[in-house]
Amino acid sequence: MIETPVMDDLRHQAMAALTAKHQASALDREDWIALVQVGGATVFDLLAEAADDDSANAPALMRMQLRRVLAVGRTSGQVDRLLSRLAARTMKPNGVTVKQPTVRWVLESSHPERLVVLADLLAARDAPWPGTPFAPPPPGSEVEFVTETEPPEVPEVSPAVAPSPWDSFPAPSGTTAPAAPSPWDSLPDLTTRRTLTR
Amino acid sequence: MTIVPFTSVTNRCPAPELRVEHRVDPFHDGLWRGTNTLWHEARLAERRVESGVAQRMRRIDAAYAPAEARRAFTDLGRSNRQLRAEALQALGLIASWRTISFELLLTFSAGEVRERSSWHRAGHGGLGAGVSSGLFDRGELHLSELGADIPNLYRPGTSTHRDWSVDACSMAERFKVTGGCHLTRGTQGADLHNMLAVEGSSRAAELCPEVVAVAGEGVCSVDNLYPDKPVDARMKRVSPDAVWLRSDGLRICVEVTSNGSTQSFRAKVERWVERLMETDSLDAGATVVLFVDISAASSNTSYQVQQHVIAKVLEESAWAHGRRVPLRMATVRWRSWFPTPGMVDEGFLSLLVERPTGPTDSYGEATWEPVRLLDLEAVPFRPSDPESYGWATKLLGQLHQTPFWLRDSQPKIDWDRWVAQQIKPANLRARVGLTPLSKAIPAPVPPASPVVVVEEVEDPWA
Repeated sequence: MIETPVMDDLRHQAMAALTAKHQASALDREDWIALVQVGGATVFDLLAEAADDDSANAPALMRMQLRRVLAVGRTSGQVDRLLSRLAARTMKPNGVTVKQPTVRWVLESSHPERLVVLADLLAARDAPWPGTPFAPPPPGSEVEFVTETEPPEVPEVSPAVAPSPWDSFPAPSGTTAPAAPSPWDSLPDLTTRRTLTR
Repeated sequence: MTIVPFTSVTNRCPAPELRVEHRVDPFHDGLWRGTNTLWHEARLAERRVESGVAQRMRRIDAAYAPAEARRAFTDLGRSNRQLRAEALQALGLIASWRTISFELLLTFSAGEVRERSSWHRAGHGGLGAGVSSGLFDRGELHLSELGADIPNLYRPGTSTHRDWSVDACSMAERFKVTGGCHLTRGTQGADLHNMLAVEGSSRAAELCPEVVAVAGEGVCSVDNLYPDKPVDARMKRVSPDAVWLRSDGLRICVEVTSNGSTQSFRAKVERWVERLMETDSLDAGATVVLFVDISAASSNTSYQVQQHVIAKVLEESAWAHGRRVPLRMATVRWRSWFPTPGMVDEGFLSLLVERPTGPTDSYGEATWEPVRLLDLEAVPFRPSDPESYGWATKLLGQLHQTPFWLRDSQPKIDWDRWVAQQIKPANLRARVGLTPLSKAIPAPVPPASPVVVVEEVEDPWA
């Protein structure tokens, strides 16, 4: 690349823009972490902001490491344990493993179970509601039961005997269905010349 | 009273080889006189081996190194799924019932826990792994005779590993093990006492058709029985030895007692009277406290002392009769239900007990009347909210500690769904397939603003 003052200036401007963008997104993240730290928002509020397409913070939050989010109010050992349990329950032992999951990894819409497992890990370790196993669940909370799905009944298929062509030979006149249109009838016209446009 | 063999009573346990007639009888078979159980604790055994005063034995306890056994829990069963499932099942049973024999572990879990298997090292079962890691202790009865075929006993261990392993569980696994209670070790003084509590509960679950669930000491502390009533610190530690649930939701708290003349028995009765007096509200009669006397003497002395102490405490507390406490206290002797080995009195099938509700005798003490606790007419229970009392059956039906024939008939709660319900932000709820909260709970409609009718006044200036 030819070093000219103009190029230098351009590069400088681009770098400055990138740095500003980076700093701004870092600021967004730190704001959110601080908000979680003082109790103004939960981890799930942060995830909801990241998942919000209209939010300007979303791209920056999406790139954040999950370790950074979970480290609020926890020792590094506790975070390690959380992450290893999350990995054990969401990743197959022989499948793809992610060493440092990000917020985007948790929120991947093709894997909703990751969010549920995270909620399970962050839930309180004591009873789901006071008074278990004798008290009913508090009003307003729904307890759903596992519906035992019966395997769909497979209709018994009697071994179909393929009709022999000799059964209807010769075909009685007037009963033959009109022949289905063959794909060969609508072949593209290869005789006309086509030009490729780039 | 007619006394019939166990085999001639309808038994609800579907597996014939696990039924009561095939188990060792802890009361009649002469197993206990004082403490003759030798307990193997992994922590102490390891220390003995390290210091050189003992050698490691090639037994089921040595099947796993402690670190290896711990890993079975903490890596969430990636290494051995079967082992982990077995150990959690055993942990749920042992933590709830305090001291339980291997036979009863088999009965309650439908034979899902294994103690030993000769053909494969991994087949030593969840009990071996639990003992090696210090989750439970294993006890052997020491007898003077040889060749006694007595099942091992198990009790919760002292290791803090229990808390870690429960902490590593998912919500669904954890609730099955703990029932939402904090697992404590409790008092482990009397093995016979604990064994009779669990054996009696097993017999009630097998033979009494009106009993729909049984719960062990670990999951029925008093603050769980009365969640909406504040419990003072003294009462908080109190927990009946077992709770048997009647089909309409009446809770029969069973206290197994061997000596009525001690101060601790009197204190226990006083605490229960106090608690029953506080809870006499609309749902009076939610709880019946049943003292089962297990003294082995053939004379009635100990039992009569117990009845005397209970009557005395009731007499001394001023409002007990006004609050119908005597209707909710009962006593019975173990020997009157199970008089001889292998036999059961038909009174046990409907829980024939005695209540201090009779007319006072010449000493001014109430006489004791027989009543059948499982008779819905004789001991009525009409709660203001029957549905909320039905939940106990459903929730106990989720737990590992419940006998399998009572557990399998209950629908299973979808705990993953419950956890997902706790996620509040709307866009995250949509991701896990839930309706947003604002739609689920319709916003209250604001009252219609009063229509102000403006009278048209003719403009005089027009």
